[in-house]
Order: sequence, then C-alpha cells, then structure tokens
Amino acid sequence: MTTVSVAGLQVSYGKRVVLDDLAIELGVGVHGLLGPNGAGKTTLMRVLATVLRPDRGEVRLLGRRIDDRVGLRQARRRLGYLPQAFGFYPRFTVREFVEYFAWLREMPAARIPLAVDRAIERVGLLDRADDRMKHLSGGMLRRAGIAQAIVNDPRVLLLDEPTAGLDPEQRVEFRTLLRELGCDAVVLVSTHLVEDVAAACARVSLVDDGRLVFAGRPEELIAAGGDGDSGDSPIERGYTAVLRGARQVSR
Amino acid sequence: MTGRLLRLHLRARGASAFVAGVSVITLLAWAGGTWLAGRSFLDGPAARLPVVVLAPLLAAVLLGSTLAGADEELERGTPLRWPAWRAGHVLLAVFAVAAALVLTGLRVPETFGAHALARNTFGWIGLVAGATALLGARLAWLPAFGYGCAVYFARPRDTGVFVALWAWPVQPSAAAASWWAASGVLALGLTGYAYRGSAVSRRPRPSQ
Amino acid sequence: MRRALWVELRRGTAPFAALAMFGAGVWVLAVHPDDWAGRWAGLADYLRVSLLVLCPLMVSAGAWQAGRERRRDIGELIAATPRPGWHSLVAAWLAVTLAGIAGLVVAFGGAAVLVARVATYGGGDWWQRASVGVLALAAASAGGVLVGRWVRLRVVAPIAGLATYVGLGILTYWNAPPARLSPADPPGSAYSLVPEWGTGLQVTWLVALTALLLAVAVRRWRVALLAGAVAIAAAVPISTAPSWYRAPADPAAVELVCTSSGPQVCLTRVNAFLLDEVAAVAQPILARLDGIPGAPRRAVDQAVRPPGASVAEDSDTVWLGLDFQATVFGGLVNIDYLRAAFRQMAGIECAYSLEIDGFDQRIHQADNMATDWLLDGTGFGVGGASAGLRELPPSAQRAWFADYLDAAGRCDLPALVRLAEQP
Repeated sequence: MTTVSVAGLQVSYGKRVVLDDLAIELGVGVHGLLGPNGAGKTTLMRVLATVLRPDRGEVRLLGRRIDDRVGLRQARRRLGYLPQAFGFYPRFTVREFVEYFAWLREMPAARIPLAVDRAIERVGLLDRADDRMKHLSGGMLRRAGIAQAIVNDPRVLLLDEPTAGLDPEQRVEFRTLLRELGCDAVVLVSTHLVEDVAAACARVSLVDDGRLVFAGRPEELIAAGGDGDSGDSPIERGYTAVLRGARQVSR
Repeated sequence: MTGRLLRLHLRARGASAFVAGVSVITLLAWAGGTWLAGRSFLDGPAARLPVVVLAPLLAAVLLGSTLAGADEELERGTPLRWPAWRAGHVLLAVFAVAAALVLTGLRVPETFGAHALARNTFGWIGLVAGATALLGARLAWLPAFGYGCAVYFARPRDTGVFVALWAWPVQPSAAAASWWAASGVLALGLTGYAYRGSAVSRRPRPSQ
Repeated sequence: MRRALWVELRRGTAPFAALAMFGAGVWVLAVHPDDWAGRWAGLADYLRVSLLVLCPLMVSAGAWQAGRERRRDIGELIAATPRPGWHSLVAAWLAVTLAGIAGLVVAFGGAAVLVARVATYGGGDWWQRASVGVLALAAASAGGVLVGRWVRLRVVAPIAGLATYVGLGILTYWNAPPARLSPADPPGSAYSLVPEWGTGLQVTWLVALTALLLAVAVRRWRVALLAGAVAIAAAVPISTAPSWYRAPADPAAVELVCTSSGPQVCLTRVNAFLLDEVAAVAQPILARLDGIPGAPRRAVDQAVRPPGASVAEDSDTVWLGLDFQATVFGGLVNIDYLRAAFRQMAGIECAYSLEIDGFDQRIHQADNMATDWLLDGTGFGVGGASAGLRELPPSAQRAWFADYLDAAGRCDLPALVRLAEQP
C-alpha cells in the first residue's frame, strides 16, 4: 500500500534547483534514502515533513494532499520527524521534552504519559528520563530526538541522519527498532552509512543532483555493483556503480 | 597579513552590525539629549541623565554579542595570542563608542554631558566584558541591564563617596569616585575577559 | 495546554522571570518606602510608578522566552507538528506572565503586610488601580513575545527592555494627554477616586493591547484587527478625556480624625495612623499658642483640601503636609519637615506683597524670632534667634508673639522692625 507519494516535485533555493521533477512512492516498511552530499536528501525530507513548501509538484501523505490547512494538520498528527540538526531546550528533562512534543503533535492528553514512557523506553533512555537534556551526551541526545519523533506512533516517520553520533552497539539496537517501526509505518531514513541501509531497510532510494536515480531493494543495489567499482562492501560498490551510471546518462 | 586577519576577525564578530547599531544609538543620544536639555520644565542640560545612562549601556549590550565567535572552543584551540586580541577588541570598542557618544554631549559637557558619557562607556563596557568572562557572550548583557535598571530607578538622593562608588552611572561627572568606580570596573572586566575569553558552557552539542 | 503550561512554568524563562520580578519588586519597594508606607492607595500607585522598571523586565522576559525557538534551533521540529502555533506561544507567554506576576506579588505582598499593620483606611479604589498595573505587566510580556518572535537579533531581549524603558520614560516626561495611555502614569493621589469609567477604559485598553500584540506575534491578522479596533476605541477617550489628576477626593478617605484631648490635631482617615506621632510634635507647639489672640488653634492634614487647590488663608489652622511622611512601621520620616509647617513667614510675605524697595533684614529677623520661639528654640537654621525673647517672663513672651501676629496681620512693617529690636 502506498502511503507517501510524490510526483513532479521541484524545489529551488533561489536559482539553484535542488529537486528536479522528482517522483517517489513509499509504502509501509523501512526505506533508506541514499545520495551524496548536496543531492537533495534533506530537502526531500523537509518537503515530506511539511516544513518546506515545494515550488511545484504534488505531495500526498497517507493518501491525502497536504495543500489545505485541514489536510496538513491531519497529516502532521500522523507524522514523526527528526531533522538532521535538531535543537532542544537544555533545561527540559528528557521526559518533558518528549511530553512537550507529544502535546505539540496533538495527542489526546490521556494517552500522553504512557506514550512518553514507551517512546523513551524504546530508545533505551528510561534510566535517564528525568535528566536534563543539557546533561546528555551526543548519542543520548539523538536518541531523545528519536523518542520525540516516535512518541505519537507516527504512520510516516522521517529520520534525517538518525545514526550520526550513535556508537556501534547503539546502531545495532537502533536498526532493530527501525525494523519494528517499519512493521506498520512508512519509515524513511536518510543516511550516508550504506551498511545501515543494507541491514535495516526493505527498500532503497538513491538521489543524485535532485533526481531519483535508483529505487529498489538493497539486493538490487548490491547487484548493480561489479568488482571494478570502488567501495569496501558489496553495497558500497553498488552505490558507486549506480551513481556513475546516472551521471554518464545525464552528461 | 595582520591587516587581513583583523578584517576577517571583525567580520566574524559582526562588527558592521555593531557599528551600525552604535551609529543609531549615537543619533538617538544626540536627539534625546538635545530634546531633554531644551525642555523648559526640566532642569536644562542636567536633565540628560537618561541619555547618559542608557546610550552607553545600549552600546555595551550590542558589544556583548561581538565578544565571542561562532565557536569559542574552536578559536581557543588556535595558537593566536588571544589575550592581546581580546583586549584590543574591547579597547577599540571603548574608544569608538566613547568617541561617538562624547560628540553628542559636547554642548555643555559638564554634569551629564560628554564627560559622564565617556565615564559610563568605560563602566558599562567593562561590566559587559567581565560578564562575558563569567557568563558567556550570550548572557553578557544581563548584569549590565539589571544593574542599569536598578541604579537608574534608585537614583540615590544623597551624595557621598560610597554612593558615588556604587551608583557611578547616575553621578554627575564631577564626582571623582564615580570615575574610579567606572575605571575599576573597566580594568577588571577587561582583564577578566582578556585572559578568560567568553565563558564556555560545558553543555554537549547535538551531534551534527 | 495545562501540560505545556506546567512544563514552561518549570523549565522555560518563567522561573527566572519570577525571580527577577521578585528582586526588582523588593528593590523598588526598598528604595522609596516613604512613597507607599501605611496607605493602600499609596502602595497601589507605587506599583504603577514602578512599572517604569517592571514593564521593561517583563518585555525582556517575554522576548527571551519567544526567542528560544530560534536560539535553540528548534523551529524546524516544531514546524512539522500539527498544533497551531499560537497554542505554544500563548502557553509560553502565559507562563512568563504568571510567573513574573507571582514574583512581584510576593514582593508586594510583603509590603502589603507592612501596610496592613498600620493602615487606617482600607476603602477606595486601590485594588482597581493595582489590577490595572498587573494587566500592564501582561501586556508588557506580550509585547516582549511579539518582539522576540519577529526580531532575529541575539540581544533583542535587553534592547527591547531598554526601549520600553525609554518609551515609558518619554511618556512620563511628556506632558500631554496621550501620556495617560502609559500604565506607569499614576492615576491620582492616595485620597482621590479615579472615576470608574477611567479604570474601565484602562482595563479595556490594556487587555486589547495584549490581545493585539499576541495576535500579531502569531500572525492571526483577523484577531489582531479586532483587538486593534478595540484598543483604539479605548485609547481615544483615555487620551482626550479630562485628566483624572483632578479626580474628586474620596470622601471617606479625607474624613477627619481628631485628637480627643489637648490642642486639636486632625488628620484625614487615610493618614490617621500617623495621628499619635503628629500630635506628639504638633500639640506642644499649639499649646504654646493657646490663648494668644489671632494664633492658630489647630493643625489639620492638608489632604483634606481638594488636590490642586491652594491652601486657603485661615488664621485658625496650620496645614500639615503628610505625603511621603510615613515609615513602613507607621512612624514619621522627618519631624523637621512636619515642624516646618509652623514656620512664621508673615513678615516677609508682607514685605513682598507691598513690593517695597530695600528689604529690611529686621523684618526677616522678626519672622525668625517668632519661628524659633514657637519651636522652643530649635528653629531651622535660626536656632537661638529667640534667646533674648525667651529670657522674658512667660506672659511677656506671649504678649510679644501676640504683637507679632497683630503687626503681621496688618502688614505693619515698622511695627515688625520694632518687634525685632525688642527686647
């Protein structure tokens, strides 16, 4: 079932076109979003998070267009978002921070306390739930960020570079969490760490220079690579091969 | 090379915005001072007390945000002779602000005129510099703002060395003790800031 | 909303706002206690005067709170949430406002306990006046929230605060009707009643202003338009109506309370808590005058006369000014200032009124002698002027003073000169 669909998407910052006629369809499950720096991953994330209004194109979240206020508000209630660089209020405790965002996502007040505890537990921060945010380490902060993104049991979860700052053990745990979340939600994970994609994602999309240049399963990306391509793992070789191919075509 | 470094340093600290701000303050100080001195129901040039207190205070508050770069720790990790640069930065600002504000008070410079403007520039900038060393540039405005409001509201009616020392911003420029107080604050603040720089919070930043 | 408000109250700018307002409140109360001690209306008016510093603090607190999203780089996260922007902004504003007001209420509550211990008049409109001041604080923090939302400047909080300070200061200096829109403009004296329509308009003006500022902060233009219209509708009559400085006196407040024994000393009810202290100073002086023809027989609180009116000539009465005369424990601040009411200046006044050339210093000396005699040898700066006079037998002293009053009453300057040279 397709729950996120984007067609003819164009976004430019001034004269620079960042996303050019991009189309993408996402169903339930974990999707990896790969691409070099500046390819437009974060811009796509921001459009899907309803933070950035596209110049052109149609965006449907959960089958609804988000142009009108009512549709936008309903979509946002079912949305979880962790930006690449996310801010926080240092004097809030983790619990208060997650609780505050549960409120901002218009969760019914009666459900909030339980949902907050569950979200904090799922990211493994329950023992630090009453610590102030300013006393957390970088990895813990990111986990608190993930907790606020999943507190409302989103149907569409957008995570921009969620594994940056996590140690290897936490990344393994995080992949397990991702797979769990992907059971009944669209989870889009933007990352540079292609191994995360291979391990946790059911599908992969590759963006380069504002266009979608690959969409398929991780195995298909691996298959695209050959021995002559640069990279230390099969999926890295597939990644470079697809990029090279896309750039040759566009030339 | 130093010239280019100086230009880059000033740009990194938002010097142009500071200069623009001080220009606006200078104009307002001139207009406000002239207006107050001309009111028949007030006591002439001595009525310029609010200007004398507030104009240097505003300039010092603006200076506060130039006392730290985008990343203090990054800067500290460089081998530049930071104490000299910091001291130079503050002294240059003292000179520029005092010069600009003194011009607005040259007509009848006594009591609450050019002299008091210069003294308060010393004091307020010293206070902001000292607060930067203790609290960081982000909150450097706070003590000066609070103290300014408190002293101005209290405006002690009695005179004396002790009062002139603690209420230096609202003293007529003839009170010698107020000059000692303001200069002392400047010396302390300048030294503290030159050696410690802007205080760095030990708060971890979100990765990325 | 309750949840968000609670978090903001604990973790936002609110605790600092409460602390700052408490500190500022204690400070302003401590620097001029004589402005408010012993009188409820005095305390309420002092709150209004103090808004000159309290409003800038609230503006700064509001701006600091509203700038937090930008400072903390959290706008991106919040933009993706469905809750309308004004919910979180109103919660943040409400938290700062409530906390700031609470801090101030604690400080002024302490002062209220001191006032309650001694005050002799609890009626009047003092609590309406105080409420207007509290509403002004809410409007100030709303203004701060607006500025903090819209201005992307790191030091916006102190600059907005100082600008408010300057703005209110200009309104205070500015002797024009629109200055009455400033809440820091005290509405009257401790004895007057501000007309109810005046208070009503002030409340409407401040509430509408608060709504306008908040609506603009969250870009709710229709609400802003409505609130703006109401604000203007209230502001126009305030700034064009006749001044309420001349508001009629509160009849119950200026009712006289008099001593039951000894020479009569009467104070208005609002000042009656000073009666014993005043009587202790005034009665001995009045006792010296007892029986002297033409001498004052009683001392009365000047507040009984309507504000603005000059004290009428009345040879029977000495008028006492008691503003700024109470300490927090109900004592007199300055006894000399009270005794000054008995200063004898009739000779000099005669000399001025007759516009004679070459003023004879001996007329001045006659006044000084009379003053010094009346104050039993402790006249201000003229102590001892009546030393010779006081060596005479008591009856001769009183005769001299009767002659002095008689000569002064007739403006007989040669007689005054002669009196100065006696004995």
